[in-house]
Amino acid sequence: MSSAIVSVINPYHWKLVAALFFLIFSFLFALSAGDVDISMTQIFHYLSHCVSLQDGATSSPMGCEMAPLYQKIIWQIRLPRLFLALLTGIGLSICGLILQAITRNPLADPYLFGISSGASLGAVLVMAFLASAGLSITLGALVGGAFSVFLMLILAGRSMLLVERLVLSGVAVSFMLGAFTSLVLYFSTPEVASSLLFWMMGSFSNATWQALSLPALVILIGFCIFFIYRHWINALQAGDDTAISLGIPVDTLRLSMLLVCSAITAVLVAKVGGIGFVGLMIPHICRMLVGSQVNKLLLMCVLLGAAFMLWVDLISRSLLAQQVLPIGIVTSAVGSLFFFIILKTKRLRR
Amino acid sequence: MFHYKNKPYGLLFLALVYCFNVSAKEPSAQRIIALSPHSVEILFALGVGDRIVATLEYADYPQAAKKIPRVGNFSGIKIEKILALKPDLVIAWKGGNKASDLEKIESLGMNLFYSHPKNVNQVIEEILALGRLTGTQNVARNLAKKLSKQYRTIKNSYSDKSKIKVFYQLWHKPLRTIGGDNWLNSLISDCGGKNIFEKAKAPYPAVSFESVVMAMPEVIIIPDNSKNFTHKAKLWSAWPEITAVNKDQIFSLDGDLLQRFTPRAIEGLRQLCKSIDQARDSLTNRQ
Repeated sequence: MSSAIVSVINPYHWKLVAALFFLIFSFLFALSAGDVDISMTQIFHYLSHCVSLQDGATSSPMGCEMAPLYQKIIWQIRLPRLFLALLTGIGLSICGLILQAITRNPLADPYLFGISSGASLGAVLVMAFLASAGLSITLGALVGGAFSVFLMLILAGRSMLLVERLVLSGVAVSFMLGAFTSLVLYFSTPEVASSLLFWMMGSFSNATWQALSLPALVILIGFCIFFIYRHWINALQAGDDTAISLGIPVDTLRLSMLLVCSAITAVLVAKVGGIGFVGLMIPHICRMLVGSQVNKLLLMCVLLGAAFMLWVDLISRSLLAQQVLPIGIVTSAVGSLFFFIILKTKRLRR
Repeated sequence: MFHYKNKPYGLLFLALVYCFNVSAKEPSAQRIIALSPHSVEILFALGVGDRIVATLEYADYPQAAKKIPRVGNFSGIKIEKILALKPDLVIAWKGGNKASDLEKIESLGMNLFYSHPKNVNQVIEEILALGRLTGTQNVARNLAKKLSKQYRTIKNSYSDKSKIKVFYQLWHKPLRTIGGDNWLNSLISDCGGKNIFEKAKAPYPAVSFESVVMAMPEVIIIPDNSKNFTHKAKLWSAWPEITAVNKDQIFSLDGDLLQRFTPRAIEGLRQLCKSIDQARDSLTNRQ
């Protein structure tokens, strides 16, 4: 009997379970670490006794023995921050995965296609010039992201079918919009410029529970769409001809996936700023672990992307005493090093 | 004494005296480029504001400073323009101007004076130095005397009082404050305050919300040049656990007075000390 179960659970499932446990461990560890020392046992106590669903902070439920200030720090500062990191990791990783699959380009990620640059430009414009008008940064980022996709499609023209053209126009758009962002930076006052710069390098420090709902919703919808079309995307990976012969509307699929990715990226950029490299790296690591089928990769990317971002956040707030580092710096530094090691060991094994 | 016959000698004597006088002191600077708002203010205080031929953006005090031509901003200086203006003195701001620009200016052989005061005493020294360079020693000496007297008075009146924990909220998004090796840090300690991020290495560290909560500041100072004070103070309203919030000791002060190394800084210091002292009173009233 037990051997039958074991045979149903294949290595892929074991890897998923391992990744899930790694994510849970990362989450608990990140929750306990910070400027205030809260031990793992206290965290368990908090999670088992102190979290009440109606009101997290103002009243302590029965049996909760943690100091109210600590409860408040966990509930109002750490948890929203961790969830935002988690969502960012998930969103950027699955977008990177899908973009890599639909363009069959291993370098594809939200950055390469100028979506991030567009969203950044939109957000920066709102922050620098329209902050007083009460316009939301998210709206600016969404408009910017949509604009960048629009530009890219125009540039690619009718030959959108050609993946290379799509990628190249994406790169061109990315640089163009990046230049405009720098221009805005140059003309803003030092205070605003430093604020914008820090934002562009990514930060989770302004996370609140209210700010989580939109990214969570968009990422959930995006994930569902990706999950529904996973087999089509898989087929697309094998080449346009194969996909067309299977009756898949290749152009429509590619365009709609691009739009979903840009929506996810824009919402994330609006909340956390520019965080690079995750969307590129995590899908590749997942591919090394579970092969290149999109249906398998999708779940793995969710788990590993989330866990990776939690560690990045942890490093960014604990590396320097009494200071916070921008997330983007840590992602790129840690990410590239990690990636380099993996590439190196993989080559040795062959 | 001077007889008609002696007149030529007298003139010669006067001419000699004049010559010696001129060669004894440095020629005073007539065409000055001041690369920071604070040096512009100091020059105007010395009465030689009209000799400034160029400055950078943000030099906005006194009113007349706004009319001075600009040769750049914090992200870069137009060096060719500076050369064309043929200045005989360039006052650079170490840490405020781009280092590579300053190197270039120095390599071009211009007369460069570095300014970067870290406390009120250094501002006074700088006023004296600039007085020498511009030939306004007397004005500078009087101003320095006046300022050091005011400074001593303020400092003495707070030196024996209890230390108050201060959080200086330089910017709210990201939350940015000041480190230990800093002008504002010295002002805070002059008022008998203690900057809660004194140990941070960076001059303007970005800090986490959590670390501020844990440090429990007794007063929060917010410079108002970052606009919209109510919005930023709202940041704290959810945290009555912090002493400063609980006791309503959040103050918005004029950032230009506080953050510029000028004679006006004494007024900024006075306001800062008053706020800190008010927080001190609010603490003792409770006990």
